[in-house]
Order: sequence, then C-alpha cells, then structure tokens
Amino acid sequence: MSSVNKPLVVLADDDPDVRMLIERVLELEGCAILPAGDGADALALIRDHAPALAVIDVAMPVLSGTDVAAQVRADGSQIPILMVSARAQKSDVAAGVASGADIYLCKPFPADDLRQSVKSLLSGAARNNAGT
Amino acid sequence: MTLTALARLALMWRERELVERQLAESEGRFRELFAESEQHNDELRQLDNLKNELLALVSHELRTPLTSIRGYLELVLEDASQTLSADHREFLDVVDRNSDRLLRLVNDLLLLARVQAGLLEVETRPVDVTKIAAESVDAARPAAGRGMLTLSLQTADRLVATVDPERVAQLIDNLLSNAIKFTPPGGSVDVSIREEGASAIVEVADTGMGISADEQDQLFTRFFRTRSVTVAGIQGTGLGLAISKAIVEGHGGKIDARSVEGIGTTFRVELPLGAAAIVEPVEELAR
Repeated sequence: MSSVNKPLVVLADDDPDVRMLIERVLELEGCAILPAGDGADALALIRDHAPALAVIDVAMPVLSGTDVAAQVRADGSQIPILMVSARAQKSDVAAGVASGADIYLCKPFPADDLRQSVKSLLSGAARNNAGT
Repeated sequence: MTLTALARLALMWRERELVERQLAESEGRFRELFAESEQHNDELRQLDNLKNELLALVSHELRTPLTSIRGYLELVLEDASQTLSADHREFLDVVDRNSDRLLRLVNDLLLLARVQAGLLEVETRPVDVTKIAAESVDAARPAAGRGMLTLSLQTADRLVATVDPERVAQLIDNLLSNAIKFTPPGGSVDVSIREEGASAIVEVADTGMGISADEQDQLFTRFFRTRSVTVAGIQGTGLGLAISKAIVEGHGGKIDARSVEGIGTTFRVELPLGAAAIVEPVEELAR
C-alpha cells in the first residue's frame, strides 16, 4: 500500500540518464521512487510493493515494457501504468495501450507532459481508493 | 483395319507421346519458375521487414539521447533561470534551439523514410478543415508578428473533408512556416480555404522572395533549398515541402506552387473531400 503522504512509484528505464531525469521530476512532485533497470526487476518491484503508479519504458532488457504491463494486468492488477517510449508511431502507441498502459508518452517529452500525466493517473487512483 | 491405317495410327500415337512428354517438361519448367519467383517474393518481404525494423531502431536510438539532452536542459532552465548569468542563459538558449532543430530533423527524416517505405499512417475521418486552418494560423501569429508580417485567413464558415487532421495540420503548419520565413518584413501571408468541385482547396500565398523558374521543378525534392534562401542564411532542413507533398499525396491530393522571384509565392493544395479516390479501371472511364 502506498503511504498517505508520498505516493510510491515504480520507475523502470534501462537508460540511467533518462531514469534519473524522470526520477528527479517525480521526486519534485512529491513521489517516492523505486527504480528498476530492466523489465524483470520492474515486474518484481510492482508485485512486491503494489505501488500507486508504474512508469515503464518499452525497450528494456529481459522483459519489455509491454510484457511487464501485460503481466501486471494478467495478475489482475489495476495499477495505473504510464508507458514511455522513443517509439512514437501510432502502431507503437496502440500496442502499448493494448498491453495495459493507461497513458503512453513519446520521448522526448516536455517535463510538464510527464507531470500532468502522473498527476492525472495518481488522482484517478486516489478516487478509486476513496471509493473502496 | 488396313496396314496403312494401322501405320498411321501408330504414328499418331507416337506423336501424341512426344507432345505429352513436351507438355510434361513445360509444366515442370513452369513449376520451377513459379517456385523461384515465390522465393524472390519471400526475400523481398524479408528485406522489406528488415528495412522497417531498421527505421524503427534508428528512430528509437536517435530519440533516446535527445530525451536526456532536452530533459536536463529543461530542468536547468526551470531551476536556475534566476541564478544564471545573462551569457550562460543565452548559451543554454542556443543549446535549446539547436537540440530542438535536431529533434525536428530526426522526426522529419523518419517521416520521410516511412513515406518511402509505404508506411505513412494516414488515418482519415470527416473533419472541418477551416478549424484546422484557423488553429494553424493562430499558432503562426507570434512568428508572423516577429517577422513584421500581416497574416490573414479567408474561409467559408465550415468545410468538412475526410482527412487525417494531424497530418493536414502539419501540412498547413509547414506551408505557413515557409511563407513566414521567406517573406521580408512589411510583407503579407494569406491563407484561404474553399471548396471547388469534389475538393477542398488550401492556398498559402506570400509576398516573399519567391522561387526562380528553373528551381521550381525541384521544389518538392528532399533537402532542396533555393539559392536565395541559402544566400540569405535562413535556417532549415529542406524537408518541409517533401513532407508536405507526401502528406498531400497520401490523401490522394495534389500540391503545386506558382511563384515569381522577388514578388511572391502561392502554394495550392487540393484535397479530395471524400475518402481518397480509388483509381478507376480504364474501361469504366471510357463509358
């Protein structure tokens, strides 16, 4: 369960510079980050910690972001998933959404797009929690 | 039966055997050729797939480092704008502009490569083209203002065409951006949208530097930039018109330019109102 004050976010990207970039932006937004460098680590973290949000890159070693999303959904989890990728064709976006992503952001993205997406996915989660 | 008749029968039988053998050989040869062409088709399909994978890989590899460049620069400019010296601020603005140029170039090149591979994704639906034009014109006003140009839009209230709204917006943005870039201060850029027969006509007219007659042929080729533009030092990739042409043709439309050097240029785009026309067989047209 995520703590009341700081939402827990699993962040998976194999590029350490991009991972640090997103981590920085999300920490400034008040999130607590659990980083992962590949898809298998990401899936394990999501399963172990039930984060409020998962931000996952598509192109990762071991398991791709779409594989991770598909597994998360197959587990029956409704965790909001923000997928990020440098693959920006409409077919890539469609594949990401089909695998279980709620929002698909194309790299490079303005920091504000990241902030807005995270805020909207976290507040959606807050509404779900409030309802239960 | 007489001997002669028997002999003739035997001869015919022999001939028939020969013909049958020849037929069997031809059939065998035909099957070989067919198998060869199937194999060639398979190889072509594989090459095509490899090419598409290469395109996707290149796009991904180029955009990833650009993510870090643009992202960290944005953080610095957001965080430190108060503490940066004027010089440092200016240097970082230059980095910003150029990394933006690089990103645009990567996107444009990838788009053109996909067009060449027959992969341009044009998703059409009925949209009001006048709205798209109005948004593009609004977005271009700051640049027109900086260039001290007047910018006008003339349209009907509403004109619905089955097009890909994002691509058409990109098309009009391209034409507007060129018109503004290549028109000296005090000039004007005028956009008009009207219906003509089964087409929507989009025209972007400027009073800019124009294009010499001998260069008009090459206008829509990749990386082409006119002499006067190069001499004037105006920045650009030379891909905008190639992309515009690809978008127009992806809709089954036409684009051309009329220009007089030193006076101005008008780009005229014809977009079919309905879904892109299917080529009629010749017999149909003859009726």
